Amino acid sequence: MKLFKGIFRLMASYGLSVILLVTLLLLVFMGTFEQTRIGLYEAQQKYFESLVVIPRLFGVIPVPVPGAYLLLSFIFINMLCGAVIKAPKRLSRPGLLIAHVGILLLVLYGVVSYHFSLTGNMPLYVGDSNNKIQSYYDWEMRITEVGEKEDGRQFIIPQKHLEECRNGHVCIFQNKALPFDVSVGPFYENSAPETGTGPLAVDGIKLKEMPPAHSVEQNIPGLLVQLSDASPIRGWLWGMEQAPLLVKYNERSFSLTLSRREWSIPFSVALEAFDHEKHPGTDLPSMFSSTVLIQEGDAVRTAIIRMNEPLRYRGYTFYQASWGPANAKEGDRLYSVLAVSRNPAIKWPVYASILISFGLLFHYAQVLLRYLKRQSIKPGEDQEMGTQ
Amino acid sequence: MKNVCVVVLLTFFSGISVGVDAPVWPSSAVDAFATLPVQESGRIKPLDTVARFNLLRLNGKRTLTLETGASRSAMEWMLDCFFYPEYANTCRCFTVESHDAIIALGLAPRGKKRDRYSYEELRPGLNHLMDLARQVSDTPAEKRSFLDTHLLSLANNVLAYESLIHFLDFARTRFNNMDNPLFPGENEKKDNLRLSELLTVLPGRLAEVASASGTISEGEKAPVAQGMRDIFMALDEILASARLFAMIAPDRLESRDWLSPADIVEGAFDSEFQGVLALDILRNFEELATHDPSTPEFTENLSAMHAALTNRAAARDEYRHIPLEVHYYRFNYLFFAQWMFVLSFIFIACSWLQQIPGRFALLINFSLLPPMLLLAAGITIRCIIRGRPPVTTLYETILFSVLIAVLLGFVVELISRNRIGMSVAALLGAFGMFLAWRYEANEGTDTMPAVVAVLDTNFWLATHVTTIVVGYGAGLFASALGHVYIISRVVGMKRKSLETFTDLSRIIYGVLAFSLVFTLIGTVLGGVWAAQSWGRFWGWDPKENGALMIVLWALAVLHARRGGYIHRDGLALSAIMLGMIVVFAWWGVNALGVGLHSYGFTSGIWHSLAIFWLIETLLIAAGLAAFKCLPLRTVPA
Repeated sequence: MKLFKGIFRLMASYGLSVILLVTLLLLVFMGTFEQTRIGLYEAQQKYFESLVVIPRLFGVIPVPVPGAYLLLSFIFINMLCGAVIKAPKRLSRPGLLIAHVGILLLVLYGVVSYHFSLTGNMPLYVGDSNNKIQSYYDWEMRITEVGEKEDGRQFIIPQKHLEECRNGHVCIFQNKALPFDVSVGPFYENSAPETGTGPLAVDGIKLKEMPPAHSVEQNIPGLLVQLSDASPIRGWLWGMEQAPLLVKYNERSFSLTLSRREWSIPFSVALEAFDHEKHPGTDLPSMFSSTVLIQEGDAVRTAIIRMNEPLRYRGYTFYQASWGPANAKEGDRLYSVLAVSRNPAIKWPVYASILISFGLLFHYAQVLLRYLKRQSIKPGEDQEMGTQ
Repeated sequence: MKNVCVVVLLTFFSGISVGVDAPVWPSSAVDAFATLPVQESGRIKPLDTVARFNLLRLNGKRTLTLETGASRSAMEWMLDCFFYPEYANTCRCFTVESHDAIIALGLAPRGKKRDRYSYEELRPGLNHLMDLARQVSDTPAEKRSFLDTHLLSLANNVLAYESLIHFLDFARTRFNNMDNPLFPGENEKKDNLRLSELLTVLPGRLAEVASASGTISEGEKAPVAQGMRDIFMALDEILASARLFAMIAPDRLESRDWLSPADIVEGAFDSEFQGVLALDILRNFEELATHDPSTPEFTENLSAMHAALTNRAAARDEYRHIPLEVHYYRFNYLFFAQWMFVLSFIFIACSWLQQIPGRFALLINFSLLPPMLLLAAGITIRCIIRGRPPVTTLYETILFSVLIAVLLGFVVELISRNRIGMSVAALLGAFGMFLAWRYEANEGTDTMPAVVAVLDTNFWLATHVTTIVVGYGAGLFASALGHVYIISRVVGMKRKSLETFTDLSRIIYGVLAFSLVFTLIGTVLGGVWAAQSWGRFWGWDPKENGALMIVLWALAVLHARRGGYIHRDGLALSAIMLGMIVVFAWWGVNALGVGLHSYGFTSGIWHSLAIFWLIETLLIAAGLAAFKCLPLRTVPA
């Protein structure tokens, strides 16, 4: 019990708060600077979504420091113990209690969003329709059985498994429903096609490994795939390749693609029109908007998505993200990119911001009034600051 | 033989002796030109504003000092460029930051390292300047030297200036169609045809040629075709410069693009052209380019043109704020605010040295009020002109955070009445206004630009942006108070007692808490906005991280104080560190050049930031030493 009390006291202590806050501050500072070197996504994963970060001091000495995930977990516990559980003793400061509850809600929102939210995008040309969201960062290799009798059954190898097929390591993937083994290797995180010869070339074409792009979403991966059997079939799959690799196998046909990871949504979105305007005499966009048709069964509804005016439908939110092609001329067919997210805690930050704002304003109004009162009654006799 | 159409560019206005006296512009003419509306960089603004920022970009100042020592307003300078280019060419309006640039052009520099040169003085080296600028623009930005950057900027300024002096070429040009077979009728032939006259006959003549093309022989067609080519080449030449200013509001309300004189010329060949009034405007320009500003003809044409242009703009409700904007810049709210802050600080500093009795003491107590009201009025006028909340650009963050800091100083003074709040407010006010002035001069561009699509929401600009800038302002004020505390401790003010420092520390605590409240609420509101616009509450973007760092530090300081880990001295040091973090969040992250807040990117400020952080670090070190060596004592009553 003594030990438990000791741990609780430590967890609820101001000292721990200070250490955690300052450590998080330093981590945020390092992660921000690192973004100029490795890009936002990498820095985010390395510093802000990790338990431990091991930056190298002077570029040489590894110094392990807690990652933001771990720090925020401790901050959550610290706040819970110090500001909420111990709070009944301090109900003289209800504003602080409310503000801390708001921050706790915000941290919880972060956890829920990190584990349960879905984010991606949906590029649509005017006139096109889609019911799939694609990932910004993740890729997958898809093997689809095609043919009149088939129902388009897919076999998917996610990127995290493909990433193991590097540095000379060839991975073999098997599935009982597939009549062949799938050998993958090498896998390149970022690649470009080139003509060439040698053991890796297929029909005079091969992929060249490129250094990772500054923004992860700009990486175009590629891999060499081989379907093993008596007469092996080989081919390169590249992320930007429009046509799939088609193979016939004992009267069965398969298409192989390497594309961004996709999720199906329970309705389809069609882009009816896309409008964009620039400020006169400039290249500065003043407005862009997508007019979309949402179709679910027989029900159809029209909606306009603008910057700062997203569409919310069935738990999904569609935002106007970008458009293209960048060099489009008058009359060219345009596409609009809608960012899509599904987050069960989407409203929590609003509730948290109300709690935090009210709590802090209430608390400091109370502090100010107390101070003014003391000033008017006993000027100069307050001992709150203590001595040094 | 290319003799069918000769373009005669009239020698720039004949009414003055070039290079001797500055043209005299009647104030009514300057006023009329100043209040002409122009569409530039996506918004409608007075020509006066355009003139001010053009001169600021070239000259580093909004007024031009002549060799005689006389001062010329930006509008007068622009009118010189329009109507008296040969005189304007002799005015030293190009600031050259280093005489190395002049040497690089193969010219002889004058005595000073940084000096101003005229177009005439630069002219022998201009071809070389353009070659060098081309080379520099091919070099990656991070590999350019100071001289490279300056040469490129000088070349751009020269090009901008040349487009100004050629703007009215269309009004000065005379066409000679005596030998042009396109005009067979004797009554159409003239050797000094004005553009407006040409446009009244040319479209009809082209229609006649087109309808008769089936009936005339190939031999007759060739000279007519050549005549057409010559005349359109001549038009192309003058139209390039006539595109500079879109001054003519379109008739159709749904059209957002205003028309330049070049558009009017092109519109004259459009069968649906309704621009009779617009052709009258061209005629007004031609008359203005022909007459002396003191003549009744000039005045008459100017008022006719002014009425035509302003009425067209007013019909679209786009003229409403033009006079207010002219007033805003002419009244120089911010300039006066800056110097009145300085004056206020001097008054207050005098009061430290000696007890000032009676009315003077009252004057000192209220000396902060006029500059504060001027700054508030300036910000309010900007809000009215733009129809936006107070902060939409980096420049406006300076103005608003200074106002917040000064207001806080005023409130602190009302509560504590020890002149510390006032002193710090006056100093911060003067410094902040100086920073705003330097930023504006360095950028040399309109500080009320059109906003990008994502910022086009007054609700979030009014809530998130305003709140967070209040937090910045308060953080800087807390930091300034920390400076007062540390410097007082370092110099070992003997008269200052422990109670004085305790009071100061309490004020720092209050302001720091105020900063935390606003930065925290502003940051959360920013997250809610991001969730609305981009689909995520928090993205670890540098700008977001900067604000988070302020919040984390302020929280750490308040928890450390509550836990008894820091007291008076520690709080003062923490406030200085808060200032360092605020500066990183405010300016440093913009200089990183990454993230979604690209509309606020700034370059070339790392050097200044590094100096600032170094000075602050030294001050913290000095403070720590003072705390160790100079313990506080209670002064006996």
